This record gives sequence, structure tokens and C-alpha cells, in this order.
Amino acid sequence: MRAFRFESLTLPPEADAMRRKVRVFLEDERANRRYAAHRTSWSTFDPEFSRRAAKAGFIGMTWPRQYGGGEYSNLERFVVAEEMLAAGAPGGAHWIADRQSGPQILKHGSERAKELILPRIASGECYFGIGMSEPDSGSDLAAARTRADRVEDGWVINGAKIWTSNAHRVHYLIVLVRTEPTGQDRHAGLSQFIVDTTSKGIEIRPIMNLSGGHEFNEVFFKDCFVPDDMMIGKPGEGWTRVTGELAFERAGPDRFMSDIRLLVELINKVGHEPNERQAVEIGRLAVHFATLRRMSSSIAGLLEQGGSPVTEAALVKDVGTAFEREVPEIVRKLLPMEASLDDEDEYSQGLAHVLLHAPSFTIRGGTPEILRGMIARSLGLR
Amino acid sequence: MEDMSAIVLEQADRLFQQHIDKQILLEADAGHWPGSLWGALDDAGLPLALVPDAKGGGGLASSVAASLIRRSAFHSVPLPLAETIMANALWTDAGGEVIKGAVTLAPVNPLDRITLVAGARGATLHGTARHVPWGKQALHALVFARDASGKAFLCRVPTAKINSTKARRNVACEPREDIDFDGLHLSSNDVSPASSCLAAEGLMPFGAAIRVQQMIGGMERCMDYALAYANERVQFGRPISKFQAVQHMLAIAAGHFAAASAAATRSPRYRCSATMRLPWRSQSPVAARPPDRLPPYAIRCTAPWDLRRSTRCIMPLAGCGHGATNGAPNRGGRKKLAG
Repeated sequence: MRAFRFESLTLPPEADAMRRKVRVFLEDERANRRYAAHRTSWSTFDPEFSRRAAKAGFIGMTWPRQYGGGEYSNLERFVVAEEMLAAGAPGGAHWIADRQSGPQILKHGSERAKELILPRIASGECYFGIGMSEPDSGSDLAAARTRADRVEDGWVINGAKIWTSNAHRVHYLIVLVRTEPTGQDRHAGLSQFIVDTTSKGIEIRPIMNLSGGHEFNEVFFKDCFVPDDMMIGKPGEGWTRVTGELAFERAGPDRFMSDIRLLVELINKVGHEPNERQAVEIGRLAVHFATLRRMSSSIAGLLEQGGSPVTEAALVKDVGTAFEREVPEIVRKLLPMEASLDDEDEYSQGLAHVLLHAPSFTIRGGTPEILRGMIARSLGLR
Repeated sequence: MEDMSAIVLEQADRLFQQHIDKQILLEADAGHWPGSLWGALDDAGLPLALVPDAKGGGGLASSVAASLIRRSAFHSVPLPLAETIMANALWTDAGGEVIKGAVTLAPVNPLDRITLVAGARGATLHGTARHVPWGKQALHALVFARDASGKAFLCRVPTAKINSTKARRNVACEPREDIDFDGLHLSSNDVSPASSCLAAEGLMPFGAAIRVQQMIGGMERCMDYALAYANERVQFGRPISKFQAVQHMLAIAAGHFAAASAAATRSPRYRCSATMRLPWRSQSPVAARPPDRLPPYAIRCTAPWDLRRSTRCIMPLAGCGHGATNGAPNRGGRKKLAG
């Protein structure tokens, strides 16, 4: 059998030092009541927080200094990410740029793109959105119909993207488009571009989510010009580039810690004398959490060694987001209380927040069906 | 070291393959003790895998011994090999000599308590242990007991001296005995103060640790069978592996298998002494999550006999002794809350 191995990882001393450093930063944030942990998470958009995190050196951590980075290891970045998540830090403004767009530009972008964009991301001033899904192609990314046509010094984009988180408040989108007609190889002829959201020819329309909030958008492109040097990689490399970008997106601790604060609130509420059922279920969730942490850190170790664990990342996301979906279902049975966003009680408010966002946990970054298809392929079933 | 481990595991694999066939397993299911198989394992020194060289054992690293137990479960070894490995490790760590023949562990139910009353010439045990694996077939039981002051002891009990009040088989057809220890007298040679690592929870974490390894070995066998079967079985004109529904079930199972394997090889948790470390977990997701997530069709009537047997072997492990299903998460939960 093709076995997925998640080797044990011992964090180096510098990662432990980084953990202490980020904890001091986060304790200061909470002590000064700059955010409310029970209702915030990595998808909470808070530019002020992002600027403070950047100032403290927690954005673009692994990038070269010449682009504003800190030249830290992937393991130090991993530690910062999990501490931010554990603290419920509102990192949503910079999260996408830091997690995937910046690394994608660093690896495959033009020199001008690197110089123009990366230092601004690292200073917490520049945010990104993901332009992958389209109205007629969500999970089937290769069916993208938004196209870019060659013009002098660049390309002109026409088409539409959908479910684009924060398009109305980020500075750039990385957009997957077709630069050649679909041929026999559906994965050929695609390209990725960095698109300035203030460009002429872009219209952004809101889509309200389940909680009534505005994160999602539809983005329409009508003769939107993008210069040559805002292409990521070469023409036709889009499929390789987008799958590489998704590997950045799938294996991090944000794939099993989106609602970790709810678990913390539950534990606080239950106190030191749980009943039998509460002890069993909390223990079980803690064990699953520890396992996912082990798997995710193992991938961070592989990335540090220059590996590209694409299928392992898909597996962590599938198992991790299933765990995230399970948390509110178990929590609300252990401590029945009507959830309300208006409630002063932190558990009630936190539960409401999670219940309304949990359906998206398994969808964003690739649905379980897509991930399981990838896993099945690596098992030799496709 | 890695090469050495690979050689040990390869040899063990070969040994299991050589001596285990359908006939052996069917006879074991019917209650027959496979003496020739035990003899072969004993000759190879497997029961003493965790005993230090100096005491005549294999001196294997605990991670290799864990893999060995996995492989034994992969091959459905119908014997208390894992119990014997663990019992010898604990008994020699407590200062005893190796115990010859198969050894079982007791108690295995977290609610069962065995008490010890020390006398001038040894000690007397009291209490009942339920569902002891191979409680009569093993030559000895290593029993964890406490005296009135709470002090912990390990006792080497010849099973010829014990009173079995009830015998039955679990769903994997492994023998389970209820043993009444009341009034059982032991000489002082058969009683030893337990190592400090046993003081808090007795044998439970160690028993759970071997069960976790066995479950993973069984899961791996089931995955192997299921993947091969999915590629061979043709329905509607193509192998069933080509159907998305089947692919997704197997992908989910692969995820659980990977998570269980990762959980079971976490950093050292229980340390008995400087020489003995057990780097496997007593709290795996598989312990908390019975293997109902394995490919469901694995246990349906069309599956081959071997696959059905491996699946059956995993099922009792999730709920069997050593408090696996609820006990371990419960302890984890309480610790989490206490912290």
C-alpha cells in the first residue's frame, strides 16, 4: 500500500524561542483588549492587527530580507501560525498574502512583482484574494473560462470569478485564466496573473454569507489590462502554478484550528469537574487535535527540506477540516446553550460564530471530494 | 540502526508468513492453541523483544518493538505475543528474570482492582480480573496489584494456579477469561514492587499502547486487502476502484489510517527507567474512534475470508481491555481540564 508517512518532528530551539516571542506579542494584544478572541479567527479581517503583527516581524517570515522578510525557517513560521490560531488572532487581512500569494510570487513572480509587492505584504500593508473559482467552474478549476488575450506589453482579461473572499478590501488577486483555448489537455493553456483590484475594468459585487457578513464577492473583468510582468511563471504554466499554490494553502494549522477557540471556551465553561461524557469527548477532541498538529508540523518539516508534499497536504486538509466541522457538533451537545451572536456570554457568542462559519471550513481550499480524488490517485485507484 | 530495524522486521514478516495460514487461523478461532507457531516465535526470540541484552532479551528499541507488534497484527498472529513482550519488559524492568512461555496481563478492565496482602512468606491476592486475554492458555499472568496502603506491585502468577470463573471468545475469536484471584498465595519470588511508571494507572497505558499498535497493523492489512480488491473486482464492466464513491471511501480510510499511525508514534510518553522507553501512544484516534470508518464493504459478504478476519480482529480492539474506547480519552480530557 502507498503509505502516507508523517514523521515525528522535533522543533529546533529557535522555534521554541519564536513561540515565546509571539506569545508575548499576543498577550500584549489581549491585555490591551485589541481584539475579542472568542469571536475572531484567521479569517477575521483586521488591517490594524496585521500592521502590528508585521511590525513585530510575524509576516513574510521565511522570505529574504531584500523583500522585507525575516529569513526564518518554515518551522518558526509554523509556530507563529499555530500560536496566532490558538489565540484567535484576527489575521484575516494578511493571512492569504502571507500563506500563499507571497510565497507564490517569491517562487515564480517577476523581479518587479517581488520588489513592488513583497515588502508591502511583509509590512502588513498589502493584502491578497484568491481568484480561482468561477460561476461555472468551482471544484473543476481546469474548466475556467475567464480568459486573457495578448495585447502590447501585456494581457487583457475578460470573465468572472466568484466566492472571492475580501475582493472588496484586498489590494491584489491572483487570478487563474485561460490564455489558450481548451484543447485535449484540459490542464494546458492556463496562466496565473497578479491583478490590482483598483485596475480599470474590474467590478466587485458582494455576496453575503450565512452569518450576514460580507466576505465573499463576485468579481467581473471587462477588458482589464495586466502588464506582462504581473504574470506568475510563464504562459501556459497556470495549472502547475495553481496546484503548487494550493499545497501552501492546505497543510497549515489553519486547517484544523479555525474553531479551536470554541474548544477553549468549552473547557473554560466546563471547569475542573467535568462529567463523564464531557471528559471523554474533550479528551477525544484533544487527542485528534494533537494528532493533526503532529501531521501538520511534519509537513512543515518536509517543506523546510524543500519537499512538495501535495497529497499529504490534501490529506491533512481533509482530516483537519472534518475535525473542525465536528467541533461545534460535539460542543453544543456537551454544553447545551442557545447560540447567539448578540449574547454577552463568550461561549454562546463563540458557538454562534462557529456554527455560522463551519459549513465553509470543508469547502474553502478544495472540497473533500476533490481532495479524496487526489488521495485516491496516489493510492493507485485512478 | 534503521537498517537493523528493517532486518528485524523483515525477518519477523517472513516468520509470520511462513507459519501462519488459513488452517492455523481457523483452528485458533475454534479455540486451539497454535503451539507450533508459538514455538517458532519463541525460537526467534520475539517474546523477549523488549528485554535488555544483558537479561537475555533482544534489546530492541521500543520503536522497533512497536513496529513488530504492528506486523504481528498485520499477519493476525492468534497468540498473546504483544502481551508477552510487554509483560517481560515490565517484569525485567522491575528486577525479575525473563518469564518463559506466553504471558498475559491482568487486570485489563480499568474498573477491576486486584489487592495484595503481604505475609511472612510471600503475599496473597484478592479480586477478580475480567476479560483477561488467553487467561488460561498463557502459562503466566503478570498481575498488577496494590496493597492496603496503595503501594503498587507486579506479580508473576502461574495460570495453573488460577481459578477461571468464565471463559468466552471475543468477536475476533480470541479467548477471554474472568479470573478470580481470591486467596491466591504467591511466594516472595513472584512479587516485586512495580516501577514508578506503573504507580498512577497500572497496566492500563501499557495495554492500551499495544492495542493501538495492533489496531494499526490490522488497519493496514484491511487497507491492503481493500485496495487490491477494489482493483480486481469488476462490476458494470470496470474495476470498482474506478467508481468515485469507492475511491472516496478508500481515501477517507487512508486518512484515518495515516492519522492513527501518526498518533501512535508520538514522542516518548511513558518512561520506566533509563533503559526502557515506550514511544507509542495509549491515546490514538483509533482508540477513540472504532474502525467503523474502514471501507464498509471490507466486512461485507463478498469480501475475501482473510479480509473479513482482519476486520473482525480490529473490532474488539477498539472496545477491549485497557480502557481503550472511553478510558484513554477520558483520562486525556481530565488532564486537559485539570491543566
